[in-house]
Amino acid sequence: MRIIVDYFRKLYRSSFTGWSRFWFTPSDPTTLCLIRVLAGSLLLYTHLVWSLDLQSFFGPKGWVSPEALAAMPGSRVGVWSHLFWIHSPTVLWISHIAALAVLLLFILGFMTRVMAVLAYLITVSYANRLIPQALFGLDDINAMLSMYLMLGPCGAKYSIDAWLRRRRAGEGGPLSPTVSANFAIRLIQVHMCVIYFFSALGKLAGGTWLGGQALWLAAANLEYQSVDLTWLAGWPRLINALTISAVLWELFYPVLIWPRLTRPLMLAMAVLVHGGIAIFLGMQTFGLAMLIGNLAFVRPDFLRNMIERKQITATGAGQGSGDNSLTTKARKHEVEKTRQD
Amino acid sequence: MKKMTTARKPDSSRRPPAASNAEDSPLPTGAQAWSGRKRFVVSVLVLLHLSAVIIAATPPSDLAQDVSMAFRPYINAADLSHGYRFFAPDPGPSHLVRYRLEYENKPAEEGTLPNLNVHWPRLLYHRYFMLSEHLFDQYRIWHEEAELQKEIQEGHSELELSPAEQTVEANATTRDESMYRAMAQSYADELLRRTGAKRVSLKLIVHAIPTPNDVLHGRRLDDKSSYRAIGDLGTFTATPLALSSEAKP
Repeated sequence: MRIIVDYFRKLYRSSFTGWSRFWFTPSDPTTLCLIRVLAGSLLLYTHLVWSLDLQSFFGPKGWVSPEALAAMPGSRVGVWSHLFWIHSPTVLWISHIAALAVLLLFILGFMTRVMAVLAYLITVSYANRLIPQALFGLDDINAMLSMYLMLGPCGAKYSIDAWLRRRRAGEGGPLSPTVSANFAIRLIQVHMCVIYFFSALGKLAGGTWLGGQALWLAAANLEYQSVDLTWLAGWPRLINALTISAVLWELFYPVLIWPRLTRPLMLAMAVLVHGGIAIFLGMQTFGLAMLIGNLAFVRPDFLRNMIERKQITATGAGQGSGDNSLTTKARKHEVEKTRQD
Repeated sequence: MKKMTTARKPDSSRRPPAASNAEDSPLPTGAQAWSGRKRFVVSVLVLLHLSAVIIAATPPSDLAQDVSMAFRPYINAADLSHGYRFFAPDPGPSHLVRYRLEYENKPAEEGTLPNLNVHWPRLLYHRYFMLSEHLFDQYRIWHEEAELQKEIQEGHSELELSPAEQTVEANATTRDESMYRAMAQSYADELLRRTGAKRVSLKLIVHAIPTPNDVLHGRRLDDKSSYRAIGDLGTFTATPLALSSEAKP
């Protein structure tokens, strides 16, 4: 009996400690800030493309009229969109241009915390105006990333806010690690694991993934295809191997992405799979969105060294202005210190 | 290497401590740490949020549906209602909407949704592609229900349904039909608005995927025989009511 009690006491203590360490340890916001720039750019592009057919998708009538939307199955309790309230084309355009401006400021990192919240609300609002089935994976990832970016200090670096702060305080160094930076990154990481797990589960319900034919069915679909992959027809075993690898990778991603030893392999596979989807299946935006999500698993010190070393090299070649040179000095100093550590 | 101390204030001029990655760090204390109460509240919120994320993605079962009812307002409001079924359960053939526009004073025109030659950039093309796939999904659901209903009425069904269950099935068929018709009407209205045509006919087309063996024997992906009409959605006018929207599965 005592053994059982001890076991549960130990389980409780280690779970509590592990939980606290996982969610509430301060971390460097570099990764989060880089995700802001990349995910923000994708959000802006997504909404810019809506501009090409704004009235047809979001106008009072459009492809999916409010009447057709009301006839859709499933509970729509809680579904909201400011676009339901807009009936005039002029007002729609004004609202859309304002949304694009917010997304641009979000990328640039001006009043980032406010812009991050607005960017999330814009993303959800546009998605809710359409029927869910008219959206695809890109919109899922856009919503997920924008939701978590607003929870952390995503404007702490690579932003106008950071530049203004440095100018005001005359400081050139990076910020201290924060709990909220770690918290936001952890949420992205866990959500990515949920995405891959359910994606794998969905694939296992079909017969063609473990059967090894699914890759062919995707590659030989003319409506998706952006590069001709019909040469694969002569390599059936290769089709089988790639298909099974992809589904097994998704299935084990939630486990193997955490150990440091297997993480680089999982991320390399992510580049291959999502890069492949982007290049060969015509879904560049979706492929990029998934890769940006995977970036949450890249250590901030690795990214910081990579980005800031590159900046020093670029500005050291005489491309920087006076202001940039000052910043470069501070960055050089920081990189040197990082190397020493 | 500097040790993270409890009394240190956040100082933006200092570089982050070497343990700047959460997985390396000791449990935080001091100025950077969140209070116990804040951690507790946030932990509860995280658990609720992640439960909503998982429930929204869980395949439908009676239990999942019951639980999801409680989370539904949050799932909908936060746009978490995603199944994450990318190319699952199986990648299938594409479904297209073929339309024929009839005008007062000029010859009829035909077109397809989506159309790579018209819908550019690729992201816009995908939006149209999803629209056509969605209309097919609605049509398929109704068509399967309608076939089942027909079997029940003709007494060929293997299901032994009570009169009450038969009424439920009949109601489901009617509901599914109104859904797909509302969607088809909405697409038709938009096509008529865009083109100024007098009326439009819609057809669902399936584009079958050839086998590797077919391709090795010279069959092209755009072979005409691989496109097949699977549903005539009817002819619609610009008025809210269709001239004739008798679907012919």
